[in-house]
Amino acid sequence: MKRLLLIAACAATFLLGGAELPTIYLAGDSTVCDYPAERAPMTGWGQALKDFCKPGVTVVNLAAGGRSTKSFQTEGRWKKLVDSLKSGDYVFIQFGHNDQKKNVPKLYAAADTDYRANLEKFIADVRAKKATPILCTPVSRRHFSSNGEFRPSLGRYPEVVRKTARAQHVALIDLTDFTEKLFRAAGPEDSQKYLTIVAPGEYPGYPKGTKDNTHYSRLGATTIAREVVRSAREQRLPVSECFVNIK
Amino acid sequence: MDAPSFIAAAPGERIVTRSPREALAEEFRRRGPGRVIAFTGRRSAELCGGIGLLEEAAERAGCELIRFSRIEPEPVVATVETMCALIREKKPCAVVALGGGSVMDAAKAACLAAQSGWPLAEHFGVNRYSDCHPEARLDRVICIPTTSGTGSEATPYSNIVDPAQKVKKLIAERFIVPELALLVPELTHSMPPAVTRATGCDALAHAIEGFLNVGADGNHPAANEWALESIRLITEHLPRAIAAGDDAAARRAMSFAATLGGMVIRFKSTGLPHLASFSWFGRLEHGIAVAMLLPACWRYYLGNPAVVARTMQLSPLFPGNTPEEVIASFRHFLDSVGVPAALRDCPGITQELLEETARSGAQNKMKLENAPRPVPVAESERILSAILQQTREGDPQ
Repeated sequence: MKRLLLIAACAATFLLGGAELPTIYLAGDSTVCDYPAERAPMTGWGQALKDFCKPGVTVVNLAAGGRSTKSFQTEGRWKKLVDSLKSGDYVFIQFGHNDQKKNVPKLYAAADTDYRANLEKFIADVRAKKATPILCTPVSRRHFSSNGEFRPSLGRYPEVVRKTARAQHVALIDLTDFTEKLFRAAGPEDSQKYLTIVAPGEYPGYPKGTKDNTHYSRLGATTIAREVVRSAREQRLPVSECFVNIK
Repeated sequence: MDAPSFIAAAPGERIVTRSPREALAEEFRRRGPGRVIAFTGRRSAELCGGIGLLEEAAERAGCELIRFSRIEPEPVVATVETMCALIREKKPCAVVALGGGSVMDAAKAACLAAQSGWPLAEHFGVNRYSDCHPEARLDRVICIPTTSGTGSEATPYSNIVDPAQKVKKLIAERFIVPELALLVPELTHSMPPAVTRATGCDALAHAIEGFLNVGADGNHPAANEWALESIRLITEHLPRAIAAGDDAAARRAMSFAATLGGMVIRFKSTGLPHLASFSWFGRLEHGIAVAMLLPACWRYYLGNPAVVARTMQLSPLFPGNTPEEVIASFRHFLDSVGVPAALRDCPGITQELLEETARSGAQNKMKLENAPRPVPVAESERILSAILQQTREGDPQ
């Protein structure tokens, strides 16, 4: 009897479409990666994205601090990601901050040549596994001039991501544009809340305080993750199936 | 006093004043079946009889009651993290705080962190979680106060001590305002006179500080009425509650007044007395400290003409023909309930502590700027120092 019930349950699951839920992978740098509690409030947006996923959706955040499109491959991280992929999975890709570092050869990837080629390889590899790549332009640093004007600092990298997405017909989430607008709207003072800018003693991990204009706070990372979800829904991207409804 | 069966500061919230036993059992039934975690004081829950109330309600609703009572008088981060881990492990259908401000504050913080998944440190500040996830629906703690002072059952606040830095840190989070609180004045009868005095003074300071916060008048249309009613009830009933703990009418009035005080500071935050005494935990009872600091802070506030007018609205309760006389009258009331006249009479409050308090005040920019008469950050040390020295020496009149 028990066995019969088990078979019936399996059949019901199959007929009702109980297929394995997709996994979301993240490939990126320190603005995307997970941080341990002692680094709070520093938060990567990939870490915050988990808060917007439906129960049962797995998020594998392979992003790591200090990585570029180049070092992510040479260290074997990309291979690990591709080897794990299954059909129907999604891969968010966001690099640029470290690709910019001309004086660090193991990281540097020129925007219009190596960086673009690396992105194209990532897209091809993901598609070969019948998974879906989604490109993200890199989130902005928080730089203001002395007269309070916002200063972009990512050079041509965001534009190359946009061009690559168009050429390869890959979904794009423009986080450079989003974060630049976010900072411009907030201004030099209020925009601090989005970054890891903390007073001495405010957080146990920073007894002397810190003023980090690159790495986001919990609020900043969550705001970006929310934008990823919102934009995916607005563009009707299939990855939206993984996300909960937000206002 | 004829209190309504429940009061509410916002839709979806209830502070039940009648038939609390039935309300609690009903709430457990609604949330259950499952486990109920009760956070309580170490001994006060037995002394006041509150644990019996919980057991009865849990039994009636068919819920399993799990009790945690290792909460210090000034709860520390590690304790809240332990409580948080317990909630995560037991996955209760309801979390109840039965105790004074410490128990309620710790439970509110633990319940928040258990659901957010964040380290506790990330919640210190203003609306840290709800600003990130405004659409979230978190389970709230059911609060049953056993003192009449903190008003925590009606506020978005939780004060937790960080022993490493020797400071009390504040969580102000709209998602932790209890949706259900039960006022059971009988549970406060066992409070000794000293606790009654200190907690009652805290409630009075909440109501007055909120009432004087003229800059926040627009936050809730009824908040000043709540404040006036709270002050009236406390001035009338605190002396009786101190003199006779089993004076049921006085206890009932104090219970109601303290909750009103909490409702007031939810919308009209406290000012300089709370700022100045934030790091005095363990040295002087919080309620006594804020009440003692209030006259000197109040005199400073009089530099704002709106506070002068507001002060005179209190003359029926603290008789006086001038604002200074009203403040002096308030100090006379404190004398009448046994609050020390000067900080120099309080052994825990040293001159060094006062100097450090004046220096560190600048770190709380928000409270300085939002004071009824704002304190320029650059001048905060001088102004706070003057207030603290006045309070150290006592009322000049």
